[in-house]
Amino acid sequence: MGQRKRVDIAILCCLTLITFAIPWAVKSSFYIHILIMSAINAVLAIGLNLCMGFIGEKSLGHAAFYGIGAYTTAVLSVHFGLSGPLNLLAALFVTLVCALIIGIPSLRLRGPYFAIVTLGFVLILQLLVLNGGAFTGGPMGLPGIKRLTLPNILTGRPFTLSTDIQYYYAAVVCFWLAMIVSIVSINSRVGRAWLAIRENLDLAESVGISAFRYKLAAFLMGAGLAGLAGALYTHYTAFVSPRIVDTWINVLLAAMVIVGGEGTLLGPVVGAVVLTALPEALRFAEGYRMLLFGVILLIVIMFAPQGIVGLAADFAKRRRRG
Amino acid sequence: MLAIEALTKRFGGVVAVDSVSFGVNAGEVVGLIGPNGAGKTTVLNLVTGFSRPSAGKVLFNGKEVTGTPPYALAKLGIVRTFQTTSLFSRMTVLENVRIGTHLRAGRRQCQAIGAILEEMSLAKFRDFAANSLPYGVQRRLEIAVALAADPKLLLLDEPAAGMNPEETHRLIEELKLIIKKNITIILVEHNMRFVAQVCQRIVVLHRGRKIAEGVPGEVLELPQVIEIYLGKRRYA
Repeated sequence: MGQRKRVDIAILCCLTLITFAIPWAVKSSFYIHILIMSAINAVLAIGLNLCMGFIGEKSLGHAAFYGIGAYTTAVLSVHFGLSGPLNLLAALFVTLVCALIIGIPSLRLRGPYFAIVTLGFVLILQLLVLNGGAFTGGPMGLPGIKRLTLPNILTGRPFTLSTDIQYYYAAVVCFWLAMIVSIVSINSRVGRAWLAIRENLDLAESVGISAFRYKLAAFLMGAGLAGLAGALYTHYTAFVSPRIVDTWINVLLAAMVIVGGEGTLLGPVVGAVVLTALPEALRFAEGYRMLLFGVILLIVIMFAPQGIVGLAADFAKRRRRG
Repeated sequence: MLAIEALTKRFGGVVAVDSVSFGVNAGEVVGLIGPNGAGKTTVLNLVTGFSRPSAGKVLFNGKEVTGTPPYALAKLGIVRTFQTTSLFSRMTVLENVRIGTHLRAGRRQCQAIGAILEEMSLAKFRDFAANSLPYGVQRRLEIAVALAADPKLLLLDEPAAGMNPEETHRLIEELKLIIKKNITIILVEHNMRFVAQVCQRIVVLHRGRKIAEGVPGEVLELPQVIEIYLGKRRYA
């Protein structure tokens, strides 16, 4: 146990160094773009993993909260001219309210209802966004979103994030926020309650764990992180379209969590980086790109059902035994 | 401490529990016996909030708790075990007991975990995964998890089921330790000899109705009790 903890800390330290040092090594703006998207996807996957991996409640609507965060920011920026920290707070607030409305009735029930309700929620949101007229831009989306302006505590002058490197750092900060939320909660009483609910719901309830409250907490944390990720994405691309609330994104996010390793801390991160980079790496295959992508996913799921992180942990265990 | 008043549970047309009433005093050990399908586990589920009664009341320390969810009852001090082995099977013994102490805070939690592991002689298994333990030890761990939740009233659903005589004997010794700690116990059980050794009072259920109640020696001699048990044996 002690050794495993030391390995975990070593991995986290390396990851911190890598995430903050990358801009010195990588100069190509194409790679920086992929890294930003990896970080944003990692935030989404980490949030999804809280519910899906640690509690075992499958959310099929995680992209909805990403979309809500993105559209809240976009609407505030385009219609109200806002581009400051208020956008981020509003995105967070609106996603949390929506998550409460979705979560309170559906997480009380056992069975597949939560998955069904969350799936329905994405579909409804997609319709709203598509038919929102000038307010949401309809199928054309909302262009011309302002870049993120943050107050600079040191100089007192507002500071606008404009270069890709600046957005990379913003995404990395967001990523570490998600990591910290996930690490702190899983190592606390809350995390133990989550795992207890996943392993044996009846027994967990009989020793005083309110499954509903803990499920809701995980769901809200995941949704809030997704809302922030959405807001950041919108400021970064300066454009938002209904493609962001596509069910395809849900599938991709779930695939990230599963390929990386459900219910592990690093699994969603590994999954997000791999599945963000893989489609780009497969561009040489042109028309066969998505086919190849699917085959690779299938192979991972068949031969590493515990995900890449699970596979690595197994491998390490076997080597230690000799 | 616990009072059950005219408790009834219907599943469609089947009346699983039919207007059952009985009380349990603080510090008492009450056995709930009866043949298969008598409604014992249903009564236990109703008392612990795992299912809602169709009619009747459950009172705990004078307050009505009918239909209160299990986690809230655990806070009041009503904790149960399950008929089939129910553990956090992929976790270690220590982690199982730690989850059991969920409702206790801070330092008291650590002390409680150590004390329970010692008491239930589980200390040497602390880092073993629950599903790697022998059956008897798993059942002991279940009781340990329930004890970790600091119960005032402990409901055990067939704790001796599937145990060999040696394991049963050991279980009786452990139950005596729990009883000494002033925890009130309701014991759902098949094993008559076991019930007679541990319980001060017995409630007999048959087809959802209470047919007898009293001290073990007397109740087990009653003709209607002998009839349902011998009847069961004849067809078995």
